[in-house]
Amino acid sequence: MTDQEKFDTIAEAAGLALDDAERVRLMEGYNGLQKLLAQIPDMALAPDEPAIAYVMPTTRVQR
Amino acid sequence: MTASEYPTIAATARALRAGTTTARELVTASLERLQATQDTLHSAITIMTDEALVAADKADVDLKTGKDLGPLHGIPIGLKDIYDTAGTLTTCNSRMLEDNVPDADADSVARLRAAGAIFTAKLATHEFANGGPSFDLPWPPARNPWNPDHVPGGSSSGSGAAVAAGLVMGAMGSDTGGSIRGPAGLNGIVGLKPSYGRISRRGIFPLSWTQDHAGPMTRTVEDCAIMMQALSGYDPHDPASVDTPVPDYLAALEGQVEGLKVGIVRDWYRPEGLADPESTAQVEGAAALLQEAGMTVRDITLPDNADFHACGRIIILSEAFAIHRKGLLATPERYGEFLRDRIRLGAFISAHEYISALRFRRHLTQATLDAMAAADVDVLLTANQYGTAEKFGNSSPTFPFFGKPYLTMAFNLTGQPALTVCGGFAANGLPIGVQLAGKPYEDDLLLRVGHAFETARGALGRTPKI
Repeated sequence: MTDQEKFDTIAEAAGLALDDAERVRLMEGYNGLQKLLAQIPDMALAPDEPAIAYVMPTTRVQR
Repeated sequence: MTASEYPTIAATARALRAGTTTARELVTASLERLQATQDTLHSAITIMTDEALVAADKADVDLKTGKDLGPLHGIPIGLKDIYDTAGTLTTCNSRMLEDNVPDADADSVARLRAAGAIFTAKLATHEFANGGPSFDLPWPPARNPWNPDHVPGGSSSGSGAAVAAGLVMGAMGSDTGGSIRGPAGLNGIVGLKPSYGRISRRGIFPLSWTQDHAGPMTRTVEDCAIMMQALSGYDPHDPASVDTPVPDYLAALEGQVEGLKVGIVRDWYRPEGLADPESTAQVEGAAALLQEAGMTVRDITLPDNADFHACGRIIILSEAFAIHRKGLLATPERYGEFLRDRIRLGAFISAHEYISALRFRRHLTQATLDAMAAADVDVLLTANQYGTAEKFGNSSPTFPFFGKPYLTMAFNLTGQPALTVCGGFAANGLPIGVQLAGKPYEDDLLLRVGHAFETARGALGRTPKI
């Protein structure tokens, strides 16, 4: 699958209605986004995971 | 205008109590300046004339009868138009909310009101605190008072312009990747992104739940401390709010700075001419002044700024798309083109990529705090931007964040407090800010260092010619 095909597939699945000009602009953004995503390392699980903690409503965070 | 027409909050508070001015006079002057500069600067979305004058008269009566609410009593303040204000239009500069009148104040607005502040304007913003400057929105973009051909930065564009131009004495901005510190630097004022959790975001339209910070923009660090005193405190209705004692920020300014250790982060702006020579020189000049004030300055290496930038941008795009998805799918034409394009990019980030960015964020934060501990530094010093404010027309690519990494993003990820103070001016007459950052919840120490820098720097000696 080409990058353009991947882009079109995701856009359609997300329900984005793009005219031709928007499609061109957003494809440019999509290409730039791939470079940002490539900078995020594939990190091994660490003992102090998870990075995302669910905090119950009414929890009072104190320091 | 002369410098004497730009009084600080601190000086004005003294004048009010000495009886040499009144809240009515101050508010009237603010309203007149906002109105007089609107065609040039476009800094306001709503000028709150009637409400402000009623509040001013009440403030004068209260002060005369001994009800003194503190240094913000009777002071004209502006609010970025993403802050909810009960009974007053709050638009986020978007057709999506152009008729929106909230029922309640944002927590920070309520705190400022309780401290006696008087709101004279809801100020210009990039649409939903992102995606500008744009010319296809309900209100035109604000302009830089030092030269209206140039941008004032964003997204707290009106707040930066209005404070610099003396239209209000202080303003509220919001900062998700640098939206307080950017305009503060480009307009020659002070801007603080406090520690994450220090100021409630309840009632402020979100851009990114995990990176949004609310904070003050003022003309001096002392004024910033005055606003922080009113704004800080636990809010059980903001899940990110942290219950921790509120320091005496004004008292902290007078603390000792001799012996404090400053880490200068040159890697972020100096290699390969990233920053222009004048911006680099301002950071070096700031380092010299901090040393003269008795602090030690040493180099420190932090994680690569490009990593912070990529991580932060992925988180913002993901969360912003989640916030705006429904509107973008149902009525995309009601958004401006820039915001529509930028936020729709979030649709192309998968769940695992977003979560990987959140995990990387924790790694970057820990690495930053570890580096500060290893280098034994109290605060960080680095550039605020790569250069002075761009001209309109040169500064609006659809996706500006694919260029150089923002110098401000790192501290939105780490949650550390970060303060921008004007270092001086470039040859083109535009201001250049420098950026200081502290350890989490050491906002008071950071303000002390900023105040020491400002004192050592001396008065700027010029004001915008508007």
